Amino acid sequence: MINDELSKVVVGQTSLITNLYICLLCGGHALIEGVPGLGKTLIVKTLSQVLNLKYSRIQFTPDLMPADILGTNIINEDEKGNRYFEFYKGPIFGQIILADEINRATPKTQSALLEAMQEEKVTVFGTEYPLAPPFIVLATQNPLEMEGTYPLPEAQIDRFFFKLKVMYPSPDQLIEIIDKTTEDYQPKVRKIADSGSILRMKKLVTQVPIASHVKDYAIRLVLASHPDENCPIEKTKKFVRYGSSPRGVQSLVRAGKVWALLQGRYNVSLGDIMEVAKPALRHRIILNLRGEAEGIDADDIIEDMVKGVPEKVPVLSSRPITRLHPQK
Amino acid sequence: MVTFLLSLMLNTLALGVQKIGLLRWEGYTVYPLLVFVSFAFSLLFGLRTKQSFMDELIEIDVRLGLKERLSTAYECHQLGRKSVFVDLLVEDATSLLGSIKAHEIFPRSFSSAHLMIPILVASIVILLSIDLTPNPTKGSATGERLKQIGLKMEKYSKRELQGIKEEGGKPRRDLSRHMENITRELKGQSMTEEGLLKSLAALAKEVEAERTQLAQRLEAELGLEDMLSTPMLKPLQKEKGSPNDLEQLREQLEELFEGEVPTSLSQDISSLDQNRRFEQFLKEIINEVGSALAVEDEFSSLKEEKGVSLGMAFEKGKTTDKEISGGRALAPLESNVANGEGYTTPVLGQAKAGSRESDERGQPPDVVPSYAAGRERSEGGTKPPYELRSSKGPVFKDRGLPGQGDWYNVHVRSLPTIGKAGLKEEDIIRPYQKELESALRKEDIPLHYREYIKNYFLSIGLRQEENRDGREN
Repeated sequence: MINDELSKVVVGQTSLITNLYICLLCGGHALIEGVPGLGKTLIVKTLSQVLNLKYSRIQFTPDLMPADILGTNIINEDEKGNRYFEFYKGPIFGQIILADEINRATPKTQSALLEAMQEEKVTVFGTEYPLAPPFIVLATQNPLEMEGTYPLPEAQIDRFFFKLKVMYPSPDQLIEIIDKTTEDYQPKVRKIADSGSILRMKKLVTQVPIASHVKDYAIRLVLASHPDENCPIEKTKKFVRYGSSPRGVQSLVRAGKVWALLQGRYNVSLGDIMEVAKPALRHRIILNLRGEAEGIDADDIIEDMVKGVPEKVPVLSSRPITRLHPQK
Repeated sequence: MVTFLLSLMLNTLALGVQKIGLLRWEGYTVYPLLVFVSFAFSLLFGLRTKQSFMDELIEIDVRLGLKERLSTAYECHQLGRKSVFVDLLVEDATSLLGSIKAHEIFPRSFSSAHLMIPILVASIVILLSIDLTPNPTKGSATGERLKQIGLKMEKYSKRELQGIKEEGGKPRRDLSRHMENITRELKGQSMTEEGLLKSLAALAKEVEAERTQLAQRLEAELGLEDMLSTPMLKPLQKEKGSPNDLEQLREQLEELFEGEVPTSLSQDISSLDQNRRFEQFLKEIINEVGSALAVEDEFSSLKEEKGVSLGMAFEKGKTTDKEISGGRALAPLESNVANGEGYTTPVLGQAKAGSRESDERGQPPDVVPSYAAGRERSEGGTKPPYELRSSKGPVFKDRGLPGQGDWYNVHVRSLPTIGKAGLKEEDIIRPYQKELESALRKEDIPLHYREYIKNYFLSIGLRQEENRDGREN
């Protein structure tokens, strides 16, 4: 239903929309990478309308200050002439935050998002202000224009649940885009969900069962991104400096659960893990100098990982199922 | 399946190896042990590689593309997890299982491995029905012959050796027991021709040793000095102690003792006769078995080694008083026997004396070699003493200077083993070398100074060499 509503406005980009939806239900944030003009802002804005969530847009620029995002205390005067500080909420106090061109802001400003993304609250002058759930940051960055940008530090990149790539639309989709944008077309999207329903769905997602051997596979997949001696993937050994953090496994499993539900199943399969491997791990694999120099794409390494890591562990080393789930 | 195949293969292998007779320990079959080992190994392998039910479910999930529904549902059920989705999943998995046919879940696949089962079973049956064992005694002419020999030996044993068993001394009882053992093995068809020949050779050795001992005792009892010069012992000194010779000796002794020959003497003579007959019987058996030559070699080598005493004396012909006095060296050997050092102790001194006497008379050298110190006559070569086969050297008798008192005996047991050190040279040098190296290591030189010091000494060495060269030039 959400897709139907979104498709009224957005042409194509179904994969991006699905992944955004997964991020939302998993309580994660997404880093969207794509050249300008592919409809990133439109997608996010429409999604907020469909889901009936408060939308904020922050355009990151080099002179943007943390206070511009978080908000600040201003001096106010009451009717009697008494002055007092009043907290003026910044754009972070929304539910769907579009951090446009996040890599244009200074690291100081970028890090202002850290607490909000991780703990869903902000602290200003010692006072904590909780953010209204569901809270999701959708940050965009331009992969081509690197001049005057501040690449996000690894710690912050790791906090993004998914890194999504916006693909260029196909010719058919371009025709549709032209039709929808150059003619008198005013689509009206319905509000399908609200905060409460999304929170309930988030809670349900955690209950999706996952078998221990599927978890095992997710773990082995993440371990295969580490360029150590036991790594079975040749490309990882050659081009990777650091592999995925444990957040990578968390992302895989949680996203796998939502993906399974989206496929109409009640359990996570190995295929679900494979399906979400790229968006969950691509920003967590840090290439070494050789990888950077040769222009290796993290997606290629993940593809090799998915192919190279065996789905089933050998019989002799198979573990009892109670090992990962000790009986209470 | 794999376990079953492995078990069959191991059994076939064990049976095959057993059938061609490679695994037979002293005639007993080890096939049951091999079967047990193969089954145990297969069982262990099967248990070790056995797939759990969970693994089976995972395999079914993957094979039928069920997206891990069965395995996840089973795991949730096993762990007692409860959630909305678990219930839905179990229902989903149940309905899925209901829709899948049994042969899809457990497909009957036929592989080439299945062909192995009838082949292996047939092999086992064939191997069990045929007998490839090279059994030396079963169903062959040789076996029959050996059986006959066994019967013959048993008959002889009952007829001749019964008395020995009851009344003889320990060595004689051992002979009897040895004979019985051989007979029993022949009857049980568990002895090969070679084994029989070896056993007979060993028995012959024992009989010969027994005869030697008896002869020594008889010689001592006759009071050698006084009686051997008399013509009554002449028959004994002829070619061999034939029954007539022994009878003649008995008659002469009766004449000498006026019909009252001491019991000990008459018993020894009869025992000698018995031994002679036994020896003759053994030789006949050996000849009958067919490998007489090999056994004769063994027999002659035995003679070479032992330097048969009185038996040899019978064969040596005439001996002078002087030479017989050499035979008095027997005295200490008798004491050896008394001390239980073994009745097979050779009397080398006498053998030497006899041999020398033959040479002096211009007769061809005796075929029976004897040991002389540092010489091995049998091969005509010279060998250092430590290579002599006997550990005991020859026994000499020396009367000493005339009128100086009693003579005495000198036993030369062996010469020092020169030329063969107990330790290797490097075993001696290495500890010294280690000590030296450890002493050098103890020098308190800082690690990074070592190179400088080494270079310094090297430069000194070079300079000294240069100076030396300069001076020489």
